Amino acid sequence: MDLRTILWIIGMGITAGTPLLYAAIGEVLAERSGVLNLGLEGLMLMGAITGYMFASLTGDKWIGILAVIVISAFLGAILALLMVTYRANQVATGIAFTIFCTGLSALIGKPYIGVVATDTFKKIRMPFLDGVPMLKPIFEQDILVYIAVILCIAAWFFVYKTKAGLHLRAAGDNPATLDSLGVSVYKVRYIYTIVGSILAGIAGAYLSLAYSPSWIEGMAAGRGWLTIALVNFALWKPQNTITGAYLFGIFYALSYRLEAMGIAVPSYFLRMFPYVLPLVILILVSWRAKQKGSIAPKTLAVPYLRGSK
Amino acid sequence: MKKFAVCFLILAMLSSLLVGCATSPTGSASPTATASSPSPTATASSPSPTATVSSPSPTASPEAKMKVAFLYDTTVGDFGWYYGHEKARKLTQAALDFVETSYLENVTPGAQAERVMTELCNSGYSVIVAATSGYEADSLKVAEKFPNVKFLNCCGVTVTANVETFYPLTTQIWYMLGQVAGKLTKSNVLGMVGAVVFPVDLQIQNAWLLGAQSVNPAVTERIIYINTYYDPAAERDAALALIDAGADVIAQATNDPAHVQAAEEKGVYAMSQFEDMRQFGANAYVSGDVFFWEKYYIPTLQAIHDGSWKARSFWPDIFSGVAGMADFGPMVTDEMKALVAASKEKMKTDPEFFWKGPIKDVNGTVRVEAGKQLTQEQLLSMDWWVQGVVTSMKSNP
Repeated sequence: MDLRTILWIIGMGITAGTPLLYAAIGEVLAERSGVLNLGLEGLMLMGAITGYMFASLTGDKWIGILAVIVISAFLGAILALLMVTYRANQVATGIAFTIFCTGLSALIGKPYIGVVATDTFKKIRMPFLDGVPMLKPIFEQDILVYIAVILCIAAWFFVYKTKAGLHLRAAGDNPATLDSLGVSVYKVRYIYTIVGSILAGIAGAYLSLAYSPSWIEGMAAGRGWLTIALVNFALWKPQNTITGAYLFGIFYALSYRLEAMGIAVPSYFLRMFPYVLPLVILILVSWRAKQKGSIAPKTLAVPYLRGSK
Repeated sequence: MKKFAVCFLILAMLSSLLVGCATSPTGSASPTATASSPSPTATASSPSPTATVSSPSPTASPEAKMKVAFLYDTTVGDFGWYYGHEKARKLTQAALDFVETSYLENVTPGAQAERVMTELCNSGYSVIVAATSGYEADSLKVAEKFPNVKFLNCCGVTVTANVETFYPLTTQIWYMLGQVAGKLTKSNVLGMVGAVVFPVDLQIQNAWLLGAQSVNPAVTERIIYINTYYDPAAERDAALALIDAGADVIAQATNDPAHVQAAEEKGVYAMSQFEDMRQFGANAYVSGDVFFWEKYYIPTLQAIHDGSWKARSFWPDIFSGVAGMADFGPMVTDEMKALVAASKEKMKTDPEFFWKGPIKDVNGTVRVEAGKQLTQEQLLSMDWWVQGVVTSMKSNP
């Protein structure tokens, strides 16, 4: 395996990891506020079909993204209504919501199967890299990849360096104290559930508008569930999500490249290969949690009722 | 306020359910089960197909029409396999006035397919077309219980009194496409996005390489199996990995055109199965096989109607018109066209001359000796690759 191939794998890994990165940043924010949003897979699918639908109808991909933001926010609001206001069991709500959205996205996506969208996100040419063509696979990506990286850095800054970020962390670790400060815990959880949903929707839109411009039923292929594992991997720190997302993407690209080289491992095992990483990480994180105590937000998935202990 | 919100949510979910269960007006059949639901029984509890099949045309002839059902595993929107069958169904419906055809999408092979087929047989359908090999086991089971219903299994293996199997001899076309690919390739590496390891697919993949090696013995073929027939994202990733591994002519065994788009992006060539996919890559598209299933459906249904039908294992060759070669792209030279024409001429008298020995497999074992030819049994159970194929899968001895 020569350097050129390795760089190709890294480049393709970045592209494959970007939807995971968007969804992971969103989920880190939501879980930090104490809300376990298991509706990510459904939100990704709805984001994918909404983005594709509006981009096909209007011929402009940015209108597609705008539509995704609006509709994901609406869906996130429904989720927040159920999980925060009605204090429904967050695990059950998220799973039921995912099943619902999977079916709904398949239904509204029927007319769009096989339709070729005219305006999709293409890779941006970097002319200054013409002298170093080896680096092109890594740095010639579409604009959503760069936006994801910027968002990751912004999220890190926001969570650790701003007062609003402090409120976010308090909402997840010690909501009663936050409440006594006069900040509405409900409002904080609502906001970050909706923000997380928007980012999950954009992750889905990336799949259908940039990664593989098309729509097929269930195209998220389990990436929403994988994001939950990646948030654990990131130890609930936004800056770590980039490592997890890109590592998974690299393993995924590697599995295809190894098969193209004819490596004597059946393709079934090669397809399993990328998912081994989150499994190993989850085991390590759980083991560490047993030793030193859990680093998850202390009231994760525990609904907050004002006035209760 | 709480009560209102709860009522609104329930109404929203119910209305989306109702929208989903509505049927389209003509020709097509019942609610499509959403492929994503976790338990198959939940989705298959949709009402029986005949309840929502379109009403017969206003000028229906007095005698009952022969009811024919087409079963599809995924969707007709794949612009590949099922798209072709659906086109043919419409042409067949238009050509024959004694049939009433309908189709069902998203029928998963296994328990659901068996249930659906049994319901169709109980509802007066006389012919069931199972448009994928995945339905073979289910159709054989149901065919035993309903000896008066005829089953047409696409790409099947077993023939019984009321079960016929059919598939065009596309290996002929792929041998010739291989000759073109062998001349076109500069890197001497061909790339194939494989779906599932299945004998007919392997026949095509081997015939393609044999054709290429007949004009260029140094050619190799790399295959990546994505383990499903329909996943455009995975197909695209596989195509990109093949192109990075050096392949400059890409073909596919899956149902859709994602590899043509990938080839167009990277500036290499593409060939396709099932449909003419040049609109997805005008510079990349060389040629491919195209199906005209109606050339099989129309005479077969006519024979069933006349009573002259007998179940058989039917492999129509390139001269029957069921499958043909797509028009050549601009990159095909006269030399390549001459090669193809010469092979076609040879196939008139010796249809599968390319399966003549000596043929070695990837491990070097001789599968067919010089002077012999692969038999039909050997072809139908093919589970090995020709020498020159690079794949992760192991050839069975």
